[in-house]
Amino acid sequence: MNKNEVEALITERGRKSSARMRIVDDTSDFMALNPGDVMVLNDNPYLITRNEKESGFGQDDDPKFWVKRTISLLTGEIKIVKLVFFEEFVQEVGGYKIHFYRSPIKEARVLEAVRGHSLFMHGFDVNDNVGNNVRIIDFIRGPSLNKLVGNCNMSHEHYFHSRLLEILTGVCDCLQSLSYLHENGLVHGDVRWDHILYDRDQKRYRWIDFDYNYDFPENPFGMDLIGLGEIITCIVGMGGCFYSDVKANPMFKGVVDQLQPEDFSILEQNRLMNLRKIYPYIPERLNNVLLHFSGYATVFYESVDEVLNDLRDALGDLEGVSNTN
Amino acid sequence: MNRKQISIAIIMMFGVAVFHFFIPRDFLSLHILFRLLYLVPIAYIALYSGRKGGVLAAITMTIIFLPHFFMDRTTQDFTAGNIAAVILFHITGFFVGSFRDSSERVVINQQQQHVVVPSTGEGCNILFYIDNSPLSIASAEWFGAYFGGRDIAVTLLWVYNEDESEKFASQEPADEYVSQQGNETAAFLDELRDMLIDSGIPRESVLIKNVAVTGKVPVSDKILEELKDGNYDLLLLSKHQQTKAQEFLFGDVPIRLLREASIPVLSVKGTPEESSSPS
Ligand SMILES: Nc1ncnc2c1ncn2[C@@H]1O[C@H](COP(=O)(O)OP(=O)(O)OP(=O)(O)O)[C@@H](O)[C@H]1O
Repeated sequence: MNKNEVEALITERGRKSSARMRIVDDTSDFMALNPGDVMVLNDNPYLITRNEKESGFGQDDDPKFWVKRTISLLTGEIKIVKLVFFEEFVQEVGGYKIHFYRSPIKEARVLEAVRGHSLFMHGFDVNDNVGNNVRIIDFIRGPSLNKLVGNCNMSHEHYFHSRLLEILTGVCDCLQSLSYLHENGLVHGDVRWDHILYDRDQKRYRWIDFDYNYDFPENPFGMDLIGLGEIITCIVGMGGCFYSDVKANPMFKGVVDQLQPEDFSILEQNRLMNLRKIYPYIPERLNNVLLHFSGYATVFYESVDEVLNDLRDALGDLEGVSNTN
Repeated sequence: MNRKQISIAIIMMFGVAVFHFFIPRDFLSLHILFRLLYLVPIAYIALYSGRKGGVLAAITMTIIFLPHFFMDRTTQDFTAGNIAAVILFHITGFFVGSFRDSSERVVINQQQQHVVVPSTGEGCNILFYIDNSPLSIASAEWFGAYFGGRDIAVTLLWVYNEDESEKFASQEPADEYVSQQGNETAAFLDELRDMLIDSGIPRESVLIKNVAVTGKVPVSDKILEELKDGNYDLLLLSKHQQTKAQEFLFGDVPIRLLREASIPVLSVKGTPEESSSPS
């Protein structure tokens, strides 16, 4: 595809081509690819409009140069193009060093497996001119779950009565869909609430970002389950509740001294799981789901379905307390 | 019976009874059909709770059915049919329940029979699951000291992932890694095999078995599969010392196998040093 053809397509899409526009079919040097440049993948030109950032963690976040928001010049659709950035790194989880991998191959496999499954982002992978595995993903319009909850400007008690049931009910199917991956021998890998987007067009929550991987031979879905616990705690607690937050909040003055080590996450000793201690109106059954991830737990959840069965049962207790005013 | 099964049984019993009750008298064939449908909850209850439950269900259904003897002013034949139906309720409850009781006994018997291991250990076929930690060596030593010199067979089982491509930027280094791991493990398994032979277990009775996994499958699934396929008398493995958090995060092979294996499981517990976690 030559420069004139690309420029004609850009004009057709109602945009102006930049004088410094580069047209590339080798995406190896993703740091050098800037908004205004065009990547040609499998004969399809994609105009880069921006580098993506982690959703919902403020504006100061470093851009992710390997995740480009683009416009497909052939169809006019917005596409997220994820370029190859293989990483292996060690992260501490609960004091244990865990190897994580950012694997394009793994993300491509998951995309293939979830084709047609509405609760996951959709896309496909292509090899660029030099064999880099590039993933081309449909753009989902809508906020991430953490933004959606973070934007509720109200007290926790008001949130609990007015929004919690609706949000939890809405997100249940999406959370449960992780078991579809597990049944197919795959993991999500980075189960966090900013990796769930509320798709405004389809009116449902959907998973994004499948490139993380970890390897626990006996508990291959362990990190996904831990992430699930964290997400549910964040939804119920209207964000993560950490010891420092509780201590700094004058509302909880009387409670801080009553907190026991067991009230916190079994893995993150500063993340409060026993939310009923600070929000006593949280029903017991819902709180019990969270306690399965706390120091009190003697039996652990072994599958997504086990968590979701308990969560759905617990939702029954919220029906009585919710009002939509 | 659990709560769910009881609810299903009650719904079925009353569902049939209520529908039957409201069928107009003239619809004779529907009455006959519904008479037979009473058998469904009886069979269901008998199947889940055994003979006692089955007979109790038959008595309950008879009581529920009783009004039809008085309500339907129909022919003598129809009344005879009602009597036959009641007899059928009881036969069904009794026999389906008995079938359930006896099949449960067979399963329990089978399990109990399996637990009888020859007291000397002679002739035993043992599956020894190996992870690549020092504790596997300690377990082999311990096992050799206790069971060495006997005529037993030991299969050393090694489970490995044959596709590691998701841990590497491309396929080539992944394949290289798998083959290097394979070589190292082969040497490790040979060492263990020699230890067992040195302890006096016949050379030809110590086998090595490598099982490949693709995708995310718990190791214990593969061990359970092997137990199902092979005719083993005992499973031997190492139990690493783990904190509650580690167990939550990484899972625990011996715990799962103790829960799910249908043969005796012997786990050799290690000290924290020996337990340096398997990779
Ligand atoms: N399908 C999508 N629709 C809309 N926005 C998306 C989509 N996929 C990714 N994004 C946006 O791009 C950001 C980065 O994408 P993603 O999280 O997949 O990258 P990543 O480098 O794999 O991230 P991480 O470092 O968390 O693994 C997301 O936080 C989100 O804002």
